Amino acid sequence: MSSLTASATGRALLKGSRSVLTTPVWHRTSLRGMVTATQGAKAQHVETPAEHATAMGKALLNKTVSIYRWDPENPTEKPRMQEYVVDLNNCGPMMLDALIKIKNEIDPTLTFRRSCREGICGSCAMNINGANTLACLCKIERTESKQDKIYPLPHMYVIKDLVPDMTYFYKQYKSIQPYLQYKTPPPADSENLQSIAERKKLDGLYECILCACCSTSCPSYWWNQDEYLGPAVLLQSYRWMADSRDQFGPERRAKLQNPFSVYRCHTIMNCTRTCPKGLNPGLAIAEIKKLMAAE
Amino acid sequence: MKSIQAARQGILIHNALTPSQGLYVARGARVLSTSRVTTQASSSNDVQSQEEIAKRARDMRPVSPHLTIYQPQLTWYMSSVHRITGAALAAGLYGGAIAYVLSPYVFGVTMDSASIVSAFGALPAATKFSAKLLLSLPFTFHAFNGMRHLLWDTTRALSLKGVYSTGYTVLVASLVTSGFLASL
Repeated sequence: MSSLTASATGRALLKGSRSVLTTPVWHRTSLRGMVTATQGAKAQHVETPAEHATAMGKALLNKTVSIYRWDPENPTEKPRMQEYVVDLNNCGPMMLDALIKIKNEIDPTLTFRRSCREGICGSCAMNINGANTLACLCKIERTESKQDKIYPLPHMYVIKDLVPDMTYFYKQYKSIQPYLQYKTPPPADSENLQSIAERKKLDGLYECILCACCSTSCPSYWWNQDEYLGPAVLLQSYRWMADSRDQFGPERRAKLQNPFSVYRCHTIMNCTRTCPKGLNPGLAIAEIKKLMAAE
Repeated sequence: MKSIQAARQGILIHNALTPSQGLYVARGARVLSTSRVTTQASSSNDVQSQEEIAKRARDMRPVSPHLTIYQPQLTWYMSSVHRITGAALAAGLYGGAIAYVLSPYVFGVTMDSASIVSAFGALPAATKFSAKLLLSLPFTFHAFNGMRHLLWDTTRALSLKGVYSTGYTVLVASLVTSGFLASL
C-alpha cells in the first residue's frame, strides 16, 4: 500500500559487477582459489558513477528527472517537485528503472507502486511528461537537455509521493458487478460454451488491467469522479454486457440509466489516446450508449 | 485474541490511509513483544494516535495536479474548444436577441437591420473581415465538430486513427469555410 522497498534482487542487479567484488573473501577463495590481499582491499572501494562509467567505456549521460513529492507525515507542507540526476548509461531503459535506481541509490524515501515491471500488473501507472502511462512501459528519452517530469495519476487524492488513493476507483469497479450473472444457470454437467465469434467480441476488452491511466486522463472523470464511473470501469461494464454467457445485460444497463454514470462521457477520447495497453475505452462507452438508446 | 484484533485494527488503519511504514513496523513489534494485557492497554492509546495521524493526513492530503500538467493533445483541446464555442454562440444569440429588444429603451439606439448595416459598412475592410471571422469561426468549428460527434454516436470513426483524421478534417474545414464566409 505505501512505501515499497525494492527487492534485494533488484539491488544486486543494479549494482552489477560491483556485487562480485563485495562477495566475502572466504567464498571467493572456495570458488576461485587464491585471493591476494590487494583484491581484498579492492572489495572495500565503492565506485563513483563517473568511475563506473569509465570502467564500462561509456560517458556519463546525466538525465534530470523532476518528481512530485508529498509526505503524509508532514501534511501541512505543500507538495513540491524534487529533481534527481540519473546516469542513463548506468540505468535500465525504462522510467521504472530510473525510479528504482533513484530509490536504491539516491533517495530511499521516494515512494511509488511497482510490481511486475512488464506492463501486466498496472501498479506503476503515473503521469510521465504530462501523459498517463505505465512507468515500466515508458522508455526514457536519451537526451541530457530535456528534463522529465513525473506526477501521480491526475486529480486523485495523494497517499504519498506517486501513490494515489485508488479506493473509490475499486469501489466503482465493484459496483458494476464484474462477473457472469445467470437467469437460467449453465448446464452443471458440461462447460459453458461460446462460439468463436462470440469469444471474439471480448478481444480488446478482457486485456484491461485496471491501471486507471484512462480514467484519470479524462476531464469528465476529474470533475465528476463521485458519480461518473469513468472509462476504465465502463469498459469493464461493457466487457460483461458483450459476453454471450452473461444474461443480465439489460439489468446492467438499467443501472446506468441516469445523467451521470455513463452520460458524463463527452467523447473527449483522452482515454483511448493514453491507454498503455492500446485498448479503446471510448468505443466501449459509445457501444453502451448505443445499446441504451435502443432500450 | 485481543492482541490479534489490535494488530488487525492497526493494519486496517494502515490500509485506510497513511501512517508511514516506520510507524507501522514499530507498532507491530510492540504487539509481538509484550504480553496480551499490557499490549491491549498500550495499543489502545497507540491506535488512538494512529487514527489521529491517519485522519490528519487524510484531511490535508492534496489532490494531484491535473489540468495544468496534462499534455496538450488534440483530443481534449478540441473538446474544450467545442464547449467554449458552444457557450459563446449561445451567449451571442441570447445576448443579441435581448440587446435588440432592450437597446431603444436602455441605450436610446434602435438595432434594426438597416442601422446595423450602415454602421458596419462604414468600418475599414480589415476590421470588417476580422469581425466576421470572429463570428464565423466559432460557428463553423462548432457545426463541423458537432457532425463529428454525431458520427461518433453511431460508433464510427472512434479509433485513435479516426479521432485524429476527423479532428484534422474538422479543423481544416472550419478554417476554410469561415474564411470564405468572412470574405463575403
